[in-house]
Amino acid sequence: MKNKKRLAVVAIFTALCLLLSYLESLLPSIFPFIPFAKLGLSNIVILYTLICFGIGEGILVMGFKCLIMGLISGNPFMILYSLMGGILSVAVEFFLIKLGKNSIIAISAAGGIFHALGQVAMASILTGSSSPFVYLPHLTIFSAIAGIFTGFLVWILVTRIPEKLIYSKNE
Amino acid sequence: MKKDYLSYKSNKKPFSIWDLVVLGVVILLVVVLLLVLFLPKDAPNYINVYREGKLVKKVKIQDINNSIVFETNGIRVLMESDGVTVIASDCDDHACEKIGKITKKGEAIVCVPKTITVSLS
Repeated sequence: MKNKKRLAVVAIFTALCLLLSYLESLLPSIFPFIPFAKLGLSNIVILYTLICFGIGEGILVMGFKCLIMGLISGNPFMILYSLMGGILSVAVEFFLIKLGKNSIIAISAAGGIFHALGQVAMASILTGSSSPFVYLPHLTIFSAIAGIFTGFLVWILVTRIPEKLIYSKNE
Repeated sequence: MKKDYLSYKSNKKPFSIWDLVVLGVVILLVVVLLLVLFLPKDAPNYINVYREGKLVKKVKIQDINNSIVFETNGIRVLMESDGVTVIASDCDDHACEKIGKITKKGEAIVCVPKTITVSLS
């Protein structure tokens, strides 16, 4: 039973992630001077998965989302990019969840910053230069704000969605 | 996991006192990054264009009279005496065009799909 539930959870949450990513890609970029900065709405789903189900499910949802979004967008570089950011942010978020000291909002902000860091590092590897790090100060500030926003939404979801909808009685 | 979930569920406050630590680290990181990256603001001397990490074009800014247009791998770069702009790109996202003109030493325009970097030094 447990494996079936895991399969269902990963499938549904991946679908949600893709939907949010797709909707977000339809929006115009928020700041013209950092055109690749995005809110990261799919982080809502990934962080929620991490909190409710754990690292395995979180990594799977994040990985599938990166892979499928990369294929949909027709830009294979997107996969490497978002995977690097995704792995770093999931690792940091999971570490902070296990530490148990910080609020969901701060965890989300930290995850956002490490996502930006991962993407800049990947851009640096792909272009073979350290120049992408020039974008890091703006990106860090923007990611922190975006992370606070998405973290607030995760906090609402965690505190408002009834427990019985997530776990069965014997879990 | 359920244990983590329940601890967040039972705690009704959106923030924790430990968030100040995260905030402090973020502010420190941004300040250090800004100092490291943007402290030297001398006028740039050279425009460098890299492809896959290799220098393919280096232009001394003093030598530019009107402007130079340089094209590599589908990216068109406009070099002027006061800065450099990516004016056209045949990739999908056109992010490098939206950056606009860079004018200061150490600034760069990066086009990841084309592995092109334009920087000022």
